[in-house]
Amino acid sequence: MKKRRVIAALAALTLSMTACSSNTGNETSEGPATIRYLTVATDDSTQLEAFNADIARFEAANPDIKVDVDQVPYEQLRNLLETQLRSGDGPDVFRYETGPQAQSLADSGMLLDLGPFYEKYGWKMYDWARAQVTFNDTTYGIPNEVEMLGMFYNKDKLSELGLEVPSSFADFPAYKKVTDKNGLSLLALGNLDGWPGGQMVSMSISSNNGADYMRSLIAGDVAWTDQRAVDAIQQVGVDFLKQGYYASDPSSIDYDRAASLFYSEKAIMYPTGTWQVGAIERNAKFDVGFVPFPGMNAPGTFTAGLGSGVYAAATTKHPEAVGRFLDYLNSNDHGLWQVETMTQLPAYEVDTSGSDLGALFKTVITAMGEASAGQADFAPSLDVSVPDTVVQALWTGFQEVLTGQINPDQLASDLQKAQAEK
Amino acid sequence: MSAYTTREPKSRRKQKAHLGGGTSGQRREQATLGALLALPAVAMIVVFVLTPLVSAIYYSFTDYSGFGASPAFVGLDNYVRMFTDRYVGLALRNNFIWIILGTSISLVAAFILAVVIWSTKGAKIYRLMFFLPFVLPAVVVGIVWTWIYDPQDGMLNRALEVVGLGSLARGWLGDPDFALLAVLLTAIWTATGVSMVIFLAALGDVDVELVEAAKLDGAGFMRRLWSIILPQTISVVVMVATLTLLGGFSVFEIVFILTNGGPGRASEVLATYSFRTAFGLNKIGYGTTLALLVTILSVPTALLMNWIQRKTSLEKMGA
Repeated sequence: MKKRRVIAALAALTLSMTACSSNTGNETSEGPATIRYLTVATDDSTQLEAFNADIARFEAANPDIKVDVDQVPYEQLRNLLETQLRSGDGPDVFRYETGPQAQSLADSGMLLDLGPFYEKYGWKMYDWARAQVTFNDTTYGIPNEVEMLGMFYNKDKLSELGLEVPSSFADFPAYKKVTDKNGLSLLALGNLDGWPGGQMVSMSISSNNGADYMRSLIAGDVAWTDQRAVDAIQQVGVDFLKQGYYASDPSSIDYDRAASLFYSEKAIMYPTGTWQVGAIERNAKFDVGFVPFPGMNAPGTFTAGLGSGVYAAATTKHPEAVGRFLDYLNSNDHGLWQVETMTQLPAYEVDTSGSDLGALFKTVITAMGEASAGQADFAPSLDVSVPDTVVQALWTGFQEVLTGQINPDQLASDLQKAQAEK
Repeated sequence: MSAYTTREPKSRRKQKAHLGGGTSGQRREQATLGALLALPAVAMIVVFVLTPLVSAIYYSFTDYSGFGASPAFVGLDNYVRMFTDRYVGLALRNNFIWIILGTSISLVAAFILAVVIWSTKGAKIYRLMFFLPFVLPAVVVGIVWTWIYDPQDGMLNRALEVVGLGSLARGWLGDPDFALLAVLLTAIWTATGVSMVIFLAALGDVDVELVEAAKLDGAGFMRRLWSIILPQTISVVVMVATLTLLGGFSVFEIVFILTNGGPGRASEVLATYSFRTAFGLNKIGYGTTLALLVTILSVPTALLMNWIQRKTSLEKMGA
């Protein structure tokens, strides 16, 4: 009786511990390899099918490599990836941010040096894009997609109202009189999440002061408290609000709500980035144009950066398979797939002459090509170029400027402190 | 043979064994079995509670960024920084506002609702209705209430306009004076139902005859509530107050979803600041220190509330 009870208890204990155990996963060192790829999830079922087909295409061409894909929402990617990397159970290949955020991974020895693969496969891309995934003279990633910040506008509505495409914000007081008469607003901005405001500051600084000034600011050669930077913050954080250029209260609505104001034609202009092109083409029932965010008195300049890069874990057991997979991700076939299916801009030239693309996306591709070829000026975007401390201070601080809790000078001072703290 | 050494009848020994009395050998056997059966739960507590707590204390003395094997030991730097960090003060202030308003409003509303449902025939359907918000996922609650608070088309502003209070309409989540209160209202809406259900269960123990007698004697609703119903349910009230109060120290989810502590830091609480520091800035060491502050504040509060609850239970029992 006693023995039976003890055995029963031990059995219960063993069962409960078994429930907590995990699988060890595939283990290969030669021959067939399975690599884990952590990337951003899409909530569009058509894009999801296309994504899976793209992976299947790679696997068909490389029958000895299987790609296990983990997809997570963009907002969760960073935390999930970092947690997995810390625990030593990270993926072999993953999408991640670029610039200083990725540099912290590189400095901690988490990333595989891709220099040998660049040499072996001869990967070509825009120089500035490769620089975003290069740290301490070592290239650790391949750029995944380029994103530009600018201003989308409702071509049909502007034409209907008899307004020209804005070439500077000096035109806006007159525009406002027209839009007020028609019950419309000028700019759609939703800053409940904080990051769209940071991009407004990026665009304002670069459009008012030029790309070189922006680079100097990022490098620390010009202080954030410089009057030109403060004036740019003042413009979008105080003046636009006071002058009633924003549709609705930008601090109280989120990014998606602001987009809906543009799609429903309540706001005729929408300053944001090219990642929205696909959504705009699906939702806007009118012709849409794309121009640089205007300066106070001049046409302004595009702001651009990498949306993300693709990296390999330093601890991967399958570097050869990883190299071949990255080679595919940097190929013309994959680039064309990004353009045609995901409405993304790869970081290299892709021949899209045979592709059936929307007019808006063609405009964006042309603008990106001109900018990357040096025919047009573009400035780096702040949120992929400055350390996390500055990004956080910018997002939080701009919310405080918009809601009158602090003034632009105070934000500039906070940014300067954050830059020194990095 | 003396009377003191007389053996118990066999039937009595069997009865004691059945009731768990038994011989010392049998009791030892039962204790061993009990310990073995409790072992999985103890192991879970050690793995999921004690080990992370000890790790957190360790990391709070380092400048761990989340990467790298050996974080540098920084002594009390994180704690010194915490005491001089003005954002900690801001967040703590918001936590205390949350605790005071959230606990009191939620308790009173839940208790009154429970009493009304308890004393009204056919009101059971309302029990389900008020409880439903609690079972909704937090993300769904966040999305719905973002729509309600929308400055242009939100239901709240529209309702205010309809009743002639349009001047009060605003961007609730973007107004630094109201953002925290707006999120708190959402949290109260979500949590009141579960408190109400607990109170309903406690009201089942209330002596209805006393209540009826008081009614016959002319006692009004509030008088019956204060003098008869509340004293008989006070220990449950204190228990619910404890849970709500402790929840106010560690509140995170609903703030993160609705405002992420914004605009600026107007609705920042300790947990969101800790999260932002640890995972947004890769300052795991300092973020962990902030999280431990929640623990440091919660434990004495929990002990105090536990003491109050025991005292009220003893008083209720007439001890």
